[in-house]
Amino acid sequence: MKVKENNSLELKNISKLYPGTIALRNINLSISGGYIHGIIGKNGAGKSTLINIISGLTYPSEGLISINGKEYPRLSRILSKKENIAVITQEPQLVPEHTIVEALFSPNYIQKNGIINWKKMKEKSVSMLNSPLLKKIKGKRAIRDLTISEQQLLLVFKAINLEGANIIILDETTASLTQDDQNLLYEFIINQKNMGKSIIFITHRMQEILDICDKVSVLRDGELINTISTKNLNMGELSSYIIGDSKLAEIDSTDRKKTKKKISDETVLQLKDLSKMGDFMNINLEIKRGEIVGLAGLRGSGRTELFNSIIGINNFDTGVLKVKNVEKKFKSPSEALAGGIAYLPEERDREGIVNELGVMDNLVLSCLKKLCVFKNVGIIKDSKKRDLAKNLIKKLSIKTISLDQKVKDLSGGNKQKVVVGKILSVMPDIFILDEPTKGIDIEAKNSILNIIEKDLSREAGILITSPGLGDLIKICDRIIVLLNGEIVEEVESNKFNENKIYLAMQGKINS
Amino acid sequence: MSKFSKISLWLIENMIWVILLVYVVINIFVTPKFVTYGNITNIFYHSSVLSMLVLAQGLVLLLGYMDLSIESTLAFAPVISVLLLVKYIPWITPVGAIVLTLLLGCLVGAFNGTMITRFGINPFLQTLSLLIILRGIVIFLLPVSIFEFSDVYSAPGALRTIFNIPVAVFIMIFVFIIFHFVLNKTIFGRHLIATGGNNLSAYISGVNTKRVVFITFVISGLLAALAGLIMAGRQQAVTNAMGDGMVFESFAGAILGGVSLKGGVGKVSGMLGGVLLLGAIDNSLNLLGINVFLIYASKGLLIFVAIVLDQAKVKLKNYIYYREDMRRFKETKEIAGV
Repeated sequence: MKVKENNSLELKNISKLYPGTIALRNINLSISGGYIHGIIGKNGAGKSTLINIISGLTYPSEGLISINGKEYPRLSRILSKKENIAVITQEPQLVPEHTIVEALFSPNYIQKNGIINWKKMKEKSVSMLNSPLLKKIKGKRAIRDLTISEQQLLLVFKAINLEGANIIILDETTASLTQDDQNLLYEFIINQKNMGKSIIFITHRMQEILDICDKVSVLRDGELINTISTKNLNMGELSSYIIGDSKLAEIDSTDRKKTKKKISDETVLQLKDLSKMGDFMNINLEIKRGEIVGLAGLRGSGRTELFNSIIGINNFDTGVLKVKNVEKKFKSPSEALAGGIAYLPEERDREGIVNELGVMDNLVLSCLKKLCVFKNVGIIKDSKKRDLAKNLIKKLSIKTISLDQKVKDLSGGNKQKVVVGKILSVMPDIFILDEPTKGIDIEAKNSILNIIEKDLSREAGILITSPGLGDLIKICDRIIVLLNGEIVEEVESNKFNENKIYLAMQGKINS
Repeated sequence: MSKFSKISLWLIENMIWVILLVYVVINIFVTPKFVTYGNITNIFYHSSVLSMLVLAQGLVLLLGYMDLSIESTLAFAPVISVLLLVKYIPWITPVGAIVLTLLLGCLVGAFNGTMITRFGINPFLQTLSLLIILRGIVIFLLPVSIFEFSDVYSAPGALRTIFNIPVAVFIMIFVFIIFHFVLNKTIFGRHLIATGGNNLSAYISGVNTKRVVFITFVISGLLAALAGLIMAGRQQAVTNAMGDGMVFESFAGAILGGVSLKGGVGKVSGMLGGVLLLGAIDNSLNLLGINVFLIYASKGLLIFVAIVLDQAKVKLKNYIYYREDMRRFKETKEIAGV
């Protein structure tokens, strides 16, 4: 094979530590020109950290990055650009007000003494817009007129043709592309590969890896499991690499059944034909008191949108939502809370905690009404507040110096425990948990899963999503698979099979 | 955490009181007649008006918003009430006029709050427009000042009680104690701080954030009207220039008192410290016979200093935490090494 020495990238013993977690452990990866190199792994496997290190957004804690033989202990964004590495992120980073011409050239305008030569840029752009990748954009004016899909194509084109990138990272770029545009992109990058450039292709979809990548590296829990040629690889084999030893998961789930408690007959949450245009369609779901229902689905499958509609951040268009057999339509989370639904949001720092407040104040935020001196008088009794907070800290084993330590100074896992503690204090009928185990280390994860199973589900029904299917399999009584906003599969706990569910999430149901 | 770090952190948290103390001590030696019973009472008396505005601004800043309209509300509420009392409907009685003054303040706040929460108008622009509108109305309705009105109406600002201490000082202290309690011990207070600290998170946690914002603006208006009432009593007159320019001092006081512009950080006691420092500086410069315009400029300087202090505080705190982390890190290494 033709290996071009000048477009190679090598990671030597790269590790990345975050407070309380190891995001990457001793990664050795070599990427060479003339190949499309796929990287795949579950959420939290370390893909984004790896990409951030290569593109210079974060520094590795240990190890070396070697580009064309030059070794760097760390890269900055500028250095990475200088070495002709380009990243196309999931969300296109463009200024909506820019015209197509400006977007193509910015920030490297054609200029003389600081004065921009618009005429020349316009002339140059004419021939560019004839490229097959940009043919749909032709005739449109500003970035705001383009679809996300078209913006992504523009960025890919710009990175390669205008900025002269030799190593191109496509970070789940295809997730936001239409089918047509995907094919255009495939064609384009295969072309680039043949010209000797390196393409790093990150995706969730196994089919893409098999179809267009030459090699694939599989990440799991921060470790590089394997780098294999895709020539003789099939999907089953690949998924077993991604998921790991699936037997282990089965043992876990049978283990659990022994300690299984009884699920009551009372339905606490019922969704009937719930739909919202563009987000989800005809969702039918019943959750009983004491039942844990897992919602599996890739990013963009509509799970967060569904949650937001249930708890009143957004509305839904049609369908019926019943809490304990009473029809409800919440207008805000505070109404949902009063109606018996507590919600744990996905983005901990942005939605879950108040950084400047202490641990205690965060824990009791949702249930201050219960802590009053008298009923219906808004004066809080300190001793009640303190007792509740102490109880929760003990129950969740939150590591904190004092009740008043600011939450921003806690580790990620402990922050997450505070968020769990906050909704636990409410004692609702239904818990809606959006990725409660996201981005935390294994120990914190297990203790949170334990609490969900033992404490949260005792008196309430639970609807939960998780970055890893393993978590769902461990604690759920039922798993529902969501794909493109519709329920495509429903599996009872005695028929859990991680491989099968994973395939269903990808839209491949083979029964 | 080491004792030294703990004390440093406490001092940083309560920096305003340290500064105030240092300032007073310096003035004992520099400014003649600074530390006399009469002068200290005076500082408190003169601070009473501004203190209400600082508290109003501080509470809104805690939300992460700002209220520019308070200085116009300060004039608007008493001017309308006194006009009605002495000119149009005298039967409302002076006590009725006091109630009306406070009600008008609430009304202005309620208008601000409604526009901001229901119509999503930017708080800066909303209160800026009201700042101009209300001042315009006041100047239109009251081209000249009114000097003669009921003693009852001017009592909150003018009356002196035991030991010659003005009622206004008691009002100030009472209001600050109330709001210290509200902020720390009531659901509303905790919800206010959580909303300012992270609006989205508070909303998702089930806090009715819109209601919190609305009520805070109503309180802000109420406090501004109370400031106006005290001022009218103190100067025994209502004028159309009342409170002109005081909104900037309200920012200075709140920020000096440790309220962060980002929201969610600040204490009522700090705001009081901020007001007293401003009062003490104003008073001492006056006693020293400094030019009025230089005093005015020095207030601008104070705002600047307050902002720099706000930044320095964060840096200092981070440094202390960093040092603590390093110490603990080294300790664990030593233990592991043995």
